[in-house]
Amino acid sequence: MIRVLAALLVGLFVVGQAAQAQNGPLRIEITDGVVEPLPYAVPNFVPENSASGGYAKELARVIASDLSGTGLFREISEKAHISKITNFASPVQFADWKAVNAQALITGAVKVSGNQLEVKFRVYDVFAGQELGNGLRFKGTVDGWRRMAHKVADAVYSRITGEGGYFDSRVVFVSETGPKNDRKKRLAIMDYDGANLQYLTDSSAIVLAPRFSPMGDKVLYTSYETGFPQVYILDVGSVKRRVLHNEEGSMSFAPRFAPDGKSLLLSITRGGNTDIFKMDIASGRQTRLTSSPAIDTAPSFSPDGSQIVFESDRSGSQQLYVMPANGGEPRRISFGQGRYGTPVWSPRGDLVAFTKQNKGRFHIGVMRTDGSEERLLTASFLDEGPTWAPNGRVIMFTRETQGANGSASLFSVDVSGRNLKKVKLAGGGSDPAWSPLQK
Amino acid sequence: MHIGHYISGAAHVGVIGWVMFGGVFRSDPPPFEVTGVSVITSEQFDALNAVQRAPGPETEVDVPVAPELREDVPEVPSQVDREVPTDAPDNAQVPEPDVTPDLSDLQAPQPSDVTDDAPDIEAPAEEMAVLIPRDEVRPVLRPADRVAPEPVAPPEPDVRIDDAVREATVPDEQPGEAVEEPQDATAPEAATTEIVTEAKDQVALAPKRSLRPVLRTRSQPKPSVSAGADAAVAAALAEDTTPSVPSGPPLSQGEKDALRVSVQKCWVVDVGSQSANVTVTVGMSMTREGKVDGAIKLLSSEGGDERATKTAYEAARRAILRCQKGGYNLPIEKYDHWRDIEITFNPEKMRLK
Repeated sequence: MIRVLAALLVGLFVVGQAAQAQNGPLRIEITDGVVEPLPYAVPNFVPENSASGGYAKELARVIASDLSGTGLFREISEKAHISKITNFASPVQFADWKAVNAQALITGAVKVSGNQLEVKFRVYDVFAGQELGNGLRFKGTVDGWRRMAHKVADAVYSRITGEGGYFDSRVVFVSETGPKNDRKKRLAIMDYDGANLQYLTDSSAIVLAPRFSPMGDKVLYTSYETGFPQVYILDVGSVKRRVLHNEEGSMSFAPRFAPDGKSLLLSITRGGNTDIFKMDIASGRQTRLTSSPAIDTAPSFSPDGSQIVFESDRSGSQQLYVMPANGGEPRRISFGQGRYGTPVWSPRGDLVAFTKQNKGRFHIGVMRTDGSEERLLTASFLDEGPTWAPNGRVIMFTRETQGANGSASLFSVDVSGRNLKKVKLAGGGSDPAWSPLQK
Repeated sequence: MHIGHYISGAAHVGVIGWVMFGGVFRSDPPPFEVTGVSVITSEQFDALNAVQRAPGPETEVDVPVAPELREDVPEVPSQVDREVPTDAPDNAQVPEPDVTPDLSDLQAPQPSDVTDDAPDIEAPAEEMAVLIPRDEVRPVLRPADRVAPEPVAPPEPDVRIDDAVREATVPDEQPGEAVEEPQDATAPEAATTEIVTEAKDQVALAPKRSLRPVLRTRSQPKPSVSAGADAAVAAALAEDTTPSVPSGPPLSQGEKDALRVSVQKCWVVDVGSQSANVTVTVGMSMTREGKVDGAIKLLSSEGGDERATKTAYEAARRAILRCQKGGYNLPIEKYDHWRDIEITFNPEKMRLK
C-alpha cells in the first residue's frame, strides 16, 4: 500500500513538473554550432586631411590581413559594400551591413599632422545594432603606421573574441640561407607577420634557440662561437651581446627566461651529464634543479613561475616532466607512444605545447599540464620547436622538408589545429620565439 | 550338496529330451487344396478329344470366272454441250443523270416568333384535402405521464395467493409516544416575491460608452477623483486580457527541433577560445512574426570568467539575431507556447571536435 501511494505521489510530481514546464517559456538547448570564420567588413578609413589619404587604405588592409589571417574572421569584399563610410561620426546604416551578412563592422579615420599619425576606430556588432566597446584612438609617428594597424586589429580581435590579440608582437628566429651542407644561420627579428625583418647577428657562428625576455627587449640564445655551445644574452635595441655561461669543459644550451626576467633556466653539460640549472642574470649564480644521470633539458617556466616543465630520458625514453620551480621530485606527464621534447608552457597556463616523434613522423601537440587531453596539431617529416603567441592561441614552429634540398620554414597553427599556414619569409627560418605584446 | 547336481542333471535331461522328441524343430505342413477326381475310360477320353479337335484349313477356294471380252462394242455417240444462254447486262447503256430538283419554290423556314412573355399558364387547381372515410378503429389516446389534478385512488392490485401461510400481525396494545426535542426559535427563511435568476443579477463590467476625448488645455487640469477613476478604468480596460497560461497543444518535438536547427546554424563557436568553455542561457520575447521582441537577456552562465561569458553571450545573441531574418518559422496557432523562449548554448560537444 505504501508503495502504491509512493508511486502515485511520484506520478503526480512528474505530471506537475511537466505541467509547470508547459506553462513556462519554451526552452531549448543547442549543443551543435558551426566552426567558421566570422564575416566582417572594414571599409577604408576616412582620411581627415589630404596628407592621410595614403594611410587610409593601407591601415584597413593591414587590419584585414591580421584578422583574416587568424582563420577566425572572413572579410567581406569592399565591392559588396552597400554603404560607404564617408564620415567617422555618421551613424551606421546597420541594415546595409546586415544585407551583406557582415556580423562585425570596423570604421575608422586617420589624420596626419607633420610626423604624427592619429588613428581612431569603432567596432560594431551589426546584428545587435550596437557598438562593441567604445571608440579608441592611437597616436604615433608615421613610421609606425603598421604597428598602429596591428594595435587596432588587436583591439578588434579582443572585443569580438574576448581574448587578447597577438598582432602587435614580434618573432625572433634563426634565419637560414644557403644549401643544406653549407647553411648560414643568423639571428633575425621580424613582426609576427614577417614584416620589418632585421638581423641581430652575423653568420660567422652557428646560433640556436633564441628566446625573448618577458619584456621583449632582450634575447637569450645559444652560439657555437667558441666551438662549444654557450648561452648568450643580447639586447635587441643596441644589438650588444654577452656570454652568460663560459665555463671551460662544459656546454650550456636551451636557455629560457623566468617570468620575472631576472633569471633564466638553462641546461649545462658537465662530464657528460646534462642537468637543468637556474641562473641569476645579474650575478651569474647558478642553482642546480635536477641531478640525474639522464639528459634533462628544454626547461620552461609556468606563467606564474611556480613550476617547470622539461624533457628527460630518465625513464629510458624522452618524456616530459614537471617539477617545482626550485627543483624537487619531477612528475612525469607524458605517457603516450613515441618521444616527447621541447615543452613550452602556454601563456594562459592551461596547456603545454611539445614536439612528438612517433613512427617516423614529427608532430606539434598540446596537452594539459597534467598530461591529459593530448592533441596533435600537425604531422610532417620534421616539425619541432613550438612557441606560443602572446595570447596562448596560436603556435609557431619549424617545419623542415625532406631531402638534400630540404629547407626549414616557419609555420603557425591555431591551438585548435586549424589554420595551419606558412609564415611569409624571404628565406628559410627555424627556432622561432614569439615576443610578448609590445608596449 | 549333490541334491543340486541331481536336480540340475534331471532338468537338463528333461530339456534335452523335450527338444529331441517334443517336435520342437518340426514345422507344421503347409496347407494344400483338395480337388475331386473322376475316373473315365479310354473311349470316353478319345470321344472327348475328337469333339474338341480344331478343323483343318481349307486349301481350295471357288474363284468366279471372269467374263469374256466382246469384240462388237457398240459406239456411243457424244455431243458437244450447247451454250447456255445468259442475259448479260448492257454496259454501254449510260444511265441518265439525276434530274436536279427545282428549288425555286422552296422557301426558307420562317423563324418562329419567340417572345419573352411567359405563356399564360393556367393555375392548377388547388389541391384539396379530402377526408377519406376510414374504416379503421379509432386510435386510443396514449396515457399522459402527468399527475391528475385530483388524486385518484390507486387500482387494487391483483390478488395473489401466496404459498406461504403467514400469521396476521397484531397491533401493539400501547403504541409509544414520540417525544420531540425542544428547539430554539429560529429566524424565518428569507423569502421574496419574485425569483431572480443569475443572468438577470449579473452586472455588466464593460463600459457602456467610450470616454469622450479630452481637449488639450494649456493649464494643467486639477486632478479629481472621478478623473482618476476614469483613468484607472481606462487602464484596466487597456490591460491585456490574454490568459497567461498558454492554451492548446504545446510545440511538437519536430517544431522545437526546427527552431533549434535554425539557430544553431548561425551559432559560430570559436573552439579554441575561453568562451568555448562557457555555457550561457539567454531569454527573449518573441513577436507573432517569430522575431525577437526587445533585448536578448543573459539569464545564466557557467564555466568561465566574466570576459569569456560576455563573449559567449554575444555569440549567442548574434546567432539568434542573424538567423531570424523575417522571423523564425514557428506555428502561429501555438504562439502562447513560444511567446517567451529560453535557449541554452552549450559548446561542450564542440570543444571535442
